[in-house]
Parts: sequence; C-alpha cells; structure tokens
Amino acid sequence: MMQVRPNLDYEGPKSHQHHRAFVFGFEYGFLKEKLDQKEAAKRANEQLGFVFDIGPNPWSKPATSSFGCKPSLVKMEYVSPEGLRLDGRRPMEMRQIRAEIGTVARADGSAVFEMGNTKVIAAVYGPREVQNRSQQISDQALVRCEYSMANFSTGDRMRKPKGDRRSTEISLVIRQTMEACILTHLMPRSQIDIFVQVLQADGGTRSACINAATLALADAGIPMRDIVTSCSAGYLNSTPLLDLNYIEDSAGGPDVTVGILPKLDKVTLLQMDAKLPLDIFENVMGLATEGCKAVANYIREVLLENTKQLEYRRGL
Amino acid sequence: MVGLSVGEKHFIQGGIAQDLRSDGRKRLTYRPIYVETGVIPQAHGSARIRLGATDVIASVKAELGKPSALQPDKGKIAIYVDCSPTAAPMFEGRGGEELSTELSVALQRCLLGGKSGAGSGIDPSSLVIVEGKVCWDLYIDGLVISSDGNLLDALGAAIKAALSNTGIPKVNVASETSGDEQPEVNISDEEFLQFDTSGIPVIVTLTKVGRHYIVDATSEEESQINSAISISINRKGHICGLTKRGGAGLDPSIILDMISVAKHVSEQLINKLDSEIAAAEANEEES
Repeated sequence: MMQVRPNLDYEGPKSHQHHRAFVFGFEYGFLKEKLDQKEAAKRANEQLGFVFDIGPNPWSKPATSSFGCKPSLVKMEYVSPEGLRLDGRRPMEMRQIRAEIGTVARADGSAVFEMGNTKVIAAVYGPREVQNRSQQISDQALVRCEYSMANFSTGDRMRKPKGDRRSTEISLVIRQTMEACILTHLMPRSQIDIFVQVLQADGGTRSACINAATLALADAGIPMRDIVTSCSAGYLNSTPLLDLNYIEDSAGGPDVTVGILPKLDKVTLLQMDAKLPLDIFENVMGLATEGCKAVANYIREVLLENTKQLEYRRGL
Repeated sequence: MVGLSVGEKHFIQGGIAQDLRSDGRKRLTYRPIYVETGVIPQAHGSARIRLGATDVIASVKAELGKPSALQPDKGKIAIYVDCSPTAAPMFEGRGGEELSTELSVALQRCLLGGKSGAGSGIDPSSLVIVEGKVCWDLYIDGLVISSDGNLLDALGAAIKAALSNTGIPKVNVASETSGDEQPEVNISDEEFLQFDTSGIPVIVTLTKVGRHYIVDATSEEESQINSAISISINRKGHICGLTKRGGAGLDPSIILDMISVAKHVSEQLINKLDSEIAAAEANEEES
C-alpha cells in the first residue's frame, strides 16, 4: 500500500490543522461521495496541484472522527481566490526585511536580520587562534558554526535549545554554505566562529540565519568571494509562493531553500522536502532565486550605509 | 576576552581607588540603562535591557498546569537562563552551562524566596485557578546576547520589566467538577490580568576591588574582583536574597557595610528602572 508522507519537520507543535491540506482529499472522497481511493487522490491532486499517495494511516479515516471537522468544512486555503495569502501578501511577495549591523559590541562582527516575524542574531568571532590544536589546518582557516534557538522563540516553549538533531543539521548547513564563500586560504591556521541565535521563529529561519551570518562576516571584515543570500519558496494551492511563514511551511507542501552567490550567480545551498514534479520545481527554484537576489540588493544597501557611517565617524 | 597586562590592571585598580573608573563613572554609578518591552510578541511578557554593552532579553510564558500536591494553593514559577554563544565564544555547546546554572540559581534565590514560597517577590497564590487542580505555570526565560559584566543585575532588571509587561489571560472555569476530574477552562483571548510588580526586588551587585566597592562592573573590572556580593532589595528596603561570589574572604563588618551601601544604591536604581519601564511601555503602546 502507498503511504502518505506529509512534511513532519516542523519547528513547533503539531496539530491536526497542519494536515488539512491532505485531509481535504479524504474528506471529499470518503464522505461526500463514495469514491475509491484512487479517485480521491486524483481529485485532490487537481485541487492541490501536486501528487501524493494515500494508504493506511491515521489521516485516511473519515474526517469527523479524527479531527472533528464537519463534512461541510472548506479546505484550508493558503491562497484565496483573489490571490492573497494568509497574511495578506501576494504569492510573489516577500515578507518585510530589516537588518542591523554591529549589535553585539564584543563580537568581531555581528548583525540582526529580520524576515517578517523571524528574528535572528549572528555574531562572528575571528579570525583568531585555533582553540583546539588538533583541528588546526595548516593551509586554511577553520570555520565553525553553531545554531541555537531561544527557549521563547517558538509558540510552545522549547525545552532543549541546543544539541537537538535539527539544530545540528542547520549548524552544518550554515557552516558549509559560509565556508564555500570565505577565502579561507588567506587565513591559515586560524579559526572563524559563526554563532547564530534565533530569537523568534516564524518560518524561514535557515534563510534568515544565512543572511545574518553574511552581514556579520562582512561586519567582521573577513574576506569573502561574494555575499551569500538565501530565501525559501513553496508550492501550495497550485501556486508557487515566495518566503513561506510558519503556517505555510507546516501545511505539508514542498519547501525549497536556495542560497546563492548573487554576483557570481552560483547556487551554494539547495534543499527541498516533500515532492514536486520537475517543471514546477524549476519554477519554484527560480522564484526562490529571485527572492535571494532581492535580499542581496537590500544587504548591499545596508552594508553601503554602514560604510558611509564609518567614513563619517572617521571624519572623511 | 583578551587578558589584561599588569599596567592595565594597575590602571583599573588605581582608578577605582580614586573614584574615577575607566569610562568616567564614579564607584556607585550605573551605566545608562535602556529598556524595551514587548520584544517577543508570542510570549505573554518580554523585555530587553541594555546596560552598556551587556544585552539581555527576558520572556515570560504562562502555561496551564497542575499544582504540586504539597502546595495545592500555589502556582509554579521557574526561572531559566541561557547564555547564547553570541555573547562569548566560550559559551558554545555546553560551555555556557556552568554560568547559566549559576545565574539561574542566583535569580531563583533572589526572586522566588524559599522552598515553601515564602518571601517570594512574585506571589504564587495569585497564579492558582482551581485549587488543587489547575494553576498557571510561569516560565521565565532569560537569554544573554552580549556580555560586558554585571549579568545578574541586568537579568534581574529584565525580569522585573518583563513581568510588568506580562498579561496573563483571564480564565473562566467552565464547569463544576468533583473528584479527580480535570475541570474545563476557557482561556479568554481578550482580557488580561496585569501582574503586580511592586513587590519584585532588584538585584544590586557590589564588587570589591582592592579596598573599595563598585557597582555595575564591566567585564574588565570583573576580572579584578576579590569578591562580590549580589543583594536583592525590594522597594521597602527589605533584603530578599544574598549571594557571595569570589574566593577572597570578607570581614563580617565589611559585609554589613556593603549591604547598607547596596540599600542606598537600590533606591535610585528602582526609581530609574521604574521610570524607564514606564517610558518603554508607553513607547510600545504608541508603536
């Protein structure tokens, strides 16, 4: 039998609402008309626009018993018929971005980056002497990264802010992305530490962290090939959506995170979960790349403004 | 932090002896305090305090829970502090755990009173909804973003500000149940009860360097401490908690002297903090 595979990599609590996009197919199929499973899947595919399988799992039961949804309930709409998303944005619109440099005075470089309600602080310490001699690399710098979420960052209070599997994975992802763009061969036998702290999580924390880390590295004056910017995009209700927030992210649709080097026009980070047909995937990835370029423009403005401030303070 | 040379150490100690510290302050002067409230929208109350380069955020979250069997008429309060690695590279991984635990325990001692809940700055009986069955669990989380000395004072002030910003939702007990059944409670989205924070103490840390005491030490000054005492004092001038840190022994008369100095300093600090919190809340309402 085939299995439903909704996206369970949520940052917060699970509730039945997250799976309503899938439940629709079953509500319709099992309650309104006596459709067999294949018909229901086909109907749901037409409505939701992507392929999924059905099989023996909790969500294939009739809706009323599991979730208390009534048959007359309309399916969860992430894009209204007028083309507005749940928070009033258009499908191609990003959330509001805000960035600030130099917030942590003691760090060599630091930045705060906000994408909508997602707020992230990054601090960079380095280049400095390697603390653990055994990890020293003789011809390049060692780049280390740690990602942690504050206790209060998600809706439900998190018990263990560090060391869980998701944090470890994101730390690795950020480290690899930034390592690709730092000119590590210019700083042999030294260490660069990137610390990212999430203050508020509302979807897209990965992207916000990478953007914040880029700004912090630039503030620290560490030589880089190019800035790295990142943005996420998804596909719900047959529409590619740019910059998903938490509700859209937990809807169970695909979530594509892209990180690019804008001037060199190269992709350094590409992650996706759930399934997408290939042509739609190209669309969604192109949309995310456009989002990255918009972020890159904003970051360049912020850095330029910062440099002007520094010039002014030096009396130039 | 980079180590200090002998010359720098003498400079710091000499300045303190002459009542002129490295940044121009007197011994008993605090750095300018900036308060921002409501920084974490999904928490019931939050505040961010900047004391020079020290930057801390405190958030208050209330969840429904069951009171303990030993004290059925009291809610539960827990304070946790986390040191973010952005504050110092040594806080990476488990490195900040020792300092976090020390700060959490010191704050609990200063703000929450004894094991029975007596003498607590926050009254736990105001948190109970249905005696023996339903109560509010208050989780107070502190996060240190940037550290430049005097973390305990900053965290104490941030918690005080966050609590005055906290709105606990009003609860209607839906039905009368008897025995062991859990009563149904409706949490209202509209009405909020504000916390009464006049009883919450502030924490004043006095650091003894050489023969003099200073208030609000920066991390360079903290590296020179012989010993330090953190005292939490409330508005009435009562001492709510005391912690001594540092290896050097202190003569009892010196301790009493430090306590009276702390009392004197705390009056100004409480007034300053209250006005800053009021200004911050007014700002928050406008925006």
